[in-house]
Amino acid sequence: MTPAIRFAGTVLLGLLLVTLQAAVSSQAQLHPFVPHLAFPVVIFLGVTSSVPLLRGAITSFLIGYLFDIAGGNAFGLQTFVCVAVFIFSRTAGLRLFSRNVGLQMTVVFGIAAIAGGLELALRAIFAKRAAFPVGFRWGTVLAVVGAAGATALISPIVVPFARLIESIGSIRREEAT
Amino acid sequence: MNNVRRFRDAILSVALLILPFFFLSANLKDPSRVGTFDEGLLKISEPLQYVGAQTAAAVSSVVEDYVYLWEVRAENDRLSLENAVLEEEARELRIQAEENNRLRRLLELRDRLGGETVNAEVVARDTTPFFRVLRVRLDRGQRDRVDVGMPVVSTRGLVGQIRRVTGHTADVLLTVDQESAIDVIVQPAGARGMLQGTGESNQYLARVQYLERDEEIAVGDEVYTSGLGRRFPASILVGRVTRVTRAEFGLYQEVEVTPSVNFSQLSEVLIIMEGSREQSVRPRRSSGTEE
Repeated sequence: MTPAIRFAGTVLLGLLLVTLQAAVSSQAQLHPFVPHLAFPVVIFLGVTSSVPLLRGAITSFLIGYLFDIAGGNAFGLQTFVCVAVFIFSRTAGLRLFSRNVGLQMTVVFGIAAIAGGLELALRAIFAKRAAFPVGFRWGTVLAVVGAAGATALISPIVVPFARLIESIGSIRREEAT
Repeated sequence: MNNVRRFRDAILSVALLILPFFFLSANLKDPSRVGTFDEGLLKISEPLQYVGAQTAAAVSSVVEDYVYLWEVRAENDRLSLENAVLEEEARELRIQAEENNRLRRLLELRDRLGGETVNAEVVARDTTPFFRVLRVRLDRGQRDRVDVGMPVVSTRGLVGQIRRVTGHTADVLLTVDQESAIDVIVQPAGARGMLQGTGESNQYLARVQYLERDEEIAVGDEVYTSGLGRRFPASILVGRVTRVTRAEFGLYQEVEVTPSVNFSQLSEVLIIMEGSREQSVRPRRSSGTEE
């Protein structure tokens, strides 16, 4: 039962983050410092060994899917990127993530920057006409780095929620013992 | 068994990665190059997109409403503060406008009086329990010109006469004081009498004495100074008749007069100097309550 609760809790957290991001985006112009609220959660799932691979992948898929829907992206872009971020985090085995907040932010920044690059690469492959929507070179660099920086900054706020959801079962076990 | 499970999970995870990749390629491709496979994918993705979009829109709408309400509250607080500031400004402007009106009426009265007058501001009332007295402040340079007995008027009519001058202030004996006696005419009958204050502590009141019984006096008649004795200029409104009593016997009737001036609201008055004594002054009726 506990894995199902954790799964549902994490997807619900993703849904809340999606709606929050949509609401904030509609109220304020944050470009180029637009945080991706889902990345810290997905990266957390990736680096947490207690999260099974399949559950992490499905959760990332669903969160990415929700971001695609809410963000008006081409269907599949965020879904693919989120699953890719999850698999990358899992295979890279980034243990630094859980050391302290500074390292956590550094890891999030790095992966978010790579994910930004991946998104641009996908656009360049599939939508050649609008490969660089924010302008070539500096505009693109600024967008990628700005978004990664903003994502890193908000990660200390978002990650504790994901960690709390993942600790549901273990807290119960501790209480039982 | 564990290895099989791991292998299965890895395969499924990769499938979860590949699946959106195909959806993406179908969505982002040049519309002219969409093939049968892509078309199929788009058909599958459409209902998924629709359901997801509806759900996200519904949740987003709730969050946006909350944000909107939060903003409305902040806006409400700001507007409340702005409203309080504006109300205070409006109140100050109203006070200034009333003061302007008062001063304008006082200037008009001064023009009507002609001759020489002195402005004075009321600073105290009823300084003694035995006299109905106002204390007015005199401007520097005017104290030597003001003398005992000089008439004091406001825009609404006669106030009284100077009783004492001390330093920069002067005490005014009101028309309702028992010591006050003014020769008056009751209009429209044109009957002459002597107005004397009753000195009552709970109301401002005066009586016209020595009015013959056969004079047709009615409630509402106006009482003016007669100008006789040259102490007060003629035709200054003093008050209105509020009660007429005719005894069965006797030469005179008793007439009660309520002053036209509301002494409790007086703030500015004019002191009439020597040159104005001969003027005939009939104050204009104004609708305002302020003196």
